[in-house]
Amino acid sequence: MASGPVVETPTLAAGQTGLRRRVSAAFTTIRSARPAVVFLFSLLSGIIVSAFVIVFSVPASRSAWGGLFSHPAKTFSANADTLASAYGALLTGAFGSPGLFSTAITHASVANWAAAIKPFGSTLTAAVPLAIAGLGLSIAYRSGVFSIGAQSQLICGAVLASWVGFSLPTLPMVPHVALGLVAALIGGALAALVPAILKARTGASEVIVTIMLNYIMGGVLIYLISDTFFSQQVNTSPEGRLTLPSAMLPLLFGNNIPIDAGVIVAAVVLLGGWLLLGRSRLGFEFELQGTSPGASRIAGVRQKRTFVMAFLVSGAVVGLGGGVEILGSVHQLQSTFGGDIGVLAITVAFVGRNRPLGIMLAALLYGVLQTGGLQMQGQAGVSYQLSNVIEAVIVLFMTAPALVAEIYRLRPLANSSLRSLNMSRGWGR
Amino acid sequence: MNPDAPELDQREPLVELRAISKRYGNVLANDDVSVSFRAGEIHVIVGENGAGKSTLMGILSGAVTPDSGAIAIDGAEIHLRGSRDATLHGIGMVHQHFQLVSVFTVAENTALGFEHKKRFKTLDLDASKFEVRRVSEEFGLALDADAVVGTLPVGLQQRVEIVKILMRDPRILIFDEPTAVLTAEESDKLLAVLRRLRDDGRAIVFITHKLREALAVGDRITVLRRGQVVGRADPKSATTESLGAMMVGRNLRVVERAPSESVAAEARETVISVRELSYAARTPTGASVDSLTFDVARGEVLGIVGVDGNGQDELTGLLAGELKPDAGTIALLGRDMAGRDVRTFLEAGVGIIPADRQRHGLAMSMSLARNLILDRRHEPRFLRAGGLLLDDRAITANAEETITRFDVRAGGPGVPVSSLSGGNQQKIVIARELERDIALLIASQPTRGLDVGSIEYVHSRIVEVAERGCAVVLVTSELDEALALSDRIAPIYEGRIVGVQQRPFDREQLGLMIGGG
Repeated sequence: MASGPVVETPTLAAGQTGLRRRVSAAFTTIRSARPAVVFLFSLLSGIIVSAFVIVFSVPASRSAWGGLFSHPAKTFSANADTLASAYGALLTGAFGSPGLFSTAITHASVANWAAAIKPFGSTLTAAVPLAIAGLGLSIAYRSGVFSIGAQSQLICGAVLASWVGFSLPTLPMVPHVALGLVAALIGGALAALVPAILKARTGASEVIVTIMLNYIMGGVLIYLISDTFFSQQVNTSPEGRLTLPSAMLPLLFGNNIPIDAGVIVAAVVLLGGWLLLGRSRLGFEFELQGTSPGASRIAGVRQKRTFVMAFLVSGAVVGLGGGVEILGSVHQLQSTFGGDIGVLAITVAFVGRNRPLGIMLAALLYGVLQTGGLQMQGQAGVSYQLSNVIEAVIVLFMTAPALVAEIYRLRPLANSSLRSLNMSRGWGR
Repeated sequence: MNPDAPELDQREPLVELRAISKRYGNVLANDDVSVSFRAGEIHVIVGENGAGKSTLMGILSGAVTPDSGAIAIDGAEIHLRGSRDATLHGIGMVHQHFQLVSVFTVAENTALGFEHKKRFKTLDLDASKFEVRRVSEEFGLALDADAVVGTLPVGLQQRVEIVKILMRDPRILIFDEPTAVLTAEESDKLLAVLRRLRDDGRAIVFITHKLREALAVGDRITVLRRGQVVGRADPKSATTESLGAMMVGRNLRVVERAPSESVAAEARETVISVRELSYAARTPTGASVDSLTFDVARGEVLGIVGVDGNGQDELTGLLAGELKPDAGTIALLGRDMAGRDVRTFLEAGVGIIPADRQRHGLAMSMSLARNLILDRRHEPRFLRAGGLLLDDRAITANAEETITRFDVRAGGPGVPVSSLSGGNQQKIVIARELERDIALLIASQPTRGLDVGSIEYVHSRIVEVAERGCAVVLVTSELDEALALSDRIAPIYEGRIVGVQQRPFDREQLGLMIGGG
């Protein structure tokens, strides 16, 4: 481009080709099987597949299919209406409605802004424990520890945090909250200690041990909140005692906006995870052991010690997620605590490819689907369960990157294989 | 050797590759390559890693489609649409990495893809077994048709692969680096099989970068370099030196230690002292080590040479602290190391070049820069924040320096080591170990799978480190390597050192000792 004859209309020509080059570069990026691109196309596929599920689950649009041949336009408009209202509700439920935002802008007041931001606050609050627990699990997965034990670690963290939370009424807020979070860290680490020691000492598979521990801790939790000093003993159904106000994570933007200090905890955890896994010597040893056990042995990594260490750090972080959930949003132990977050955290770690940034985005996506799903049920009459279907479909596409690459004709990257999406090693060997 | 040899050139070629070109990205893997293969002739193709041998054979075996050029059989051009097509045209290939299902029996493996059917299309395994027996008897390749392939040693697995190809009665057989995985004894047997197949009137294409083998078995040699044919050689007149020079495009320096250096060694300080070291095999495939005793002094190279599986891996594991001996002692610079772990051995000044560099020497998915600090991660120069965080700037600077100083061909400090060639990967391992402050270097099969240029490089580094005053234990299955580099050679057979030789070495006798004689 720089050579002789083109100089006559330099700005125009350069501008055009520059734009064209940029467009074609962008297009090349979009057509390559980068993790982010695969993720976006998985999301798109999930939305498309879910559209069919939604259309057939809502009576109005389902019955419209009966007139497909007599009134095709009516059929399509009825279906389009259903989809627009469902996905519209999903978005407004998760991010807030444009109407409330414009009211907040035109009639600026604290109450109006609070109403506008509230849905997104709920989304963030739902994402917080997932991000923390997901990051905790990613530490294990990158170290070659295949832990399924998020549920047990969440419960242990939550139980200790709750204990601190409903005791110590004289303690001021800052030390009380801090003590509660430290208790959560210890609880999670304790729950991880059992499978870690069993694996290091006897070689027992951490997969099986953690799954069993999940059942055990689920039972212990119900016992604690039914028959011990943890129990509130007001209702007939088992419930834990309420966290004292001094131990609750404070709301950051006043009482009307449900964004608590858990967001800060999550941000610190994500940042800390990035430092640990990407920059620290300990994280280097974790990752070395996870990706190349043979080379780590020859490089003098003390394998059992490192395995136990990675398991404990992972468990502590997951336990912190349980503590944040108790002190931040639910404020008391319940019989089903930890079950859903424990499972979702695994998929969050997986969808986020065990990277802190990816985990943050994946946790937000799940937050969006959860809060938006509620609104979808209330406003568009789509069952809440369907948001779980959407989640599942997206994850399904994520687990088959080769499928996504095939459907959308993505070019494989020169230097990375689709295989690298695999979550972790550690089954059996 | 071959009675027809004088009139070879007059005969029409059986298969011709005409002006083949193939491009991958901006690498021209084959650049206008023309070669012809004649029946009753072993045609050796030599070249360094990345010279285009495998691409060329991929094209001949139908697995790769050339960008331009043609394949002709008996003068008629053919188009191959896949490896099955090639099989039907009488082209068979014995791959370097066996194409076998390890849980299937020999008969099942050989039948795969060309199954005999009974009525109602059920599998006729008896027919396959009969075929296996017929072929293995005809060519003297004894095999048990009912043996499960995974339980067979590597040499027999290769035999299964060969029998499988022979059952399709090919006119041209391609062997892609077949001796790379074999012991010396197995290699000799294989070369005898090649001669027999040649005398049977088939065209044999033999890919290798072992020049001695090329000269021993070839009737004709073609040398590839950077995708082009750079020369043809007559095995009767060519030497390993002339072939090596053709392969790498320059004269190779033969690395050999001067005998004078070894004389003085006795007066020097002992670095490692091993006494009655024993270790019993823990797994059915593992080997034992039986009361080994030796010393290595500063500046001395002890060559431990033997056929794979005679306890070398166990010995290096013991010397690195990876395995705990059942009995015996190891003293490093006078310090008793019994029961210590790898980390303590590393800190005591042991450098390790593992035999399996991809599994034990490198973290393949990690960057070149990080791989250069695998066992140096505790050194303060690579750490900051009180030793908690890695100092990525220092790590990158170290990598850049190593890339320049060791002439590593790589895209930069940040690329994963998996993107490097085998020779460059080994350079990373060696650079890392030599940069550390070591008193003892354990080099296990340091040149396995490397091309001649890289071998020269590795050898000169080992000599250099010994001259610097380091003790070296060189564990190798290549007798020539041990002969060139060692001050003393200790042949190992079934876990025992069968007798130590000083310079000048008796090559014949060492060969016998390695074989247990």
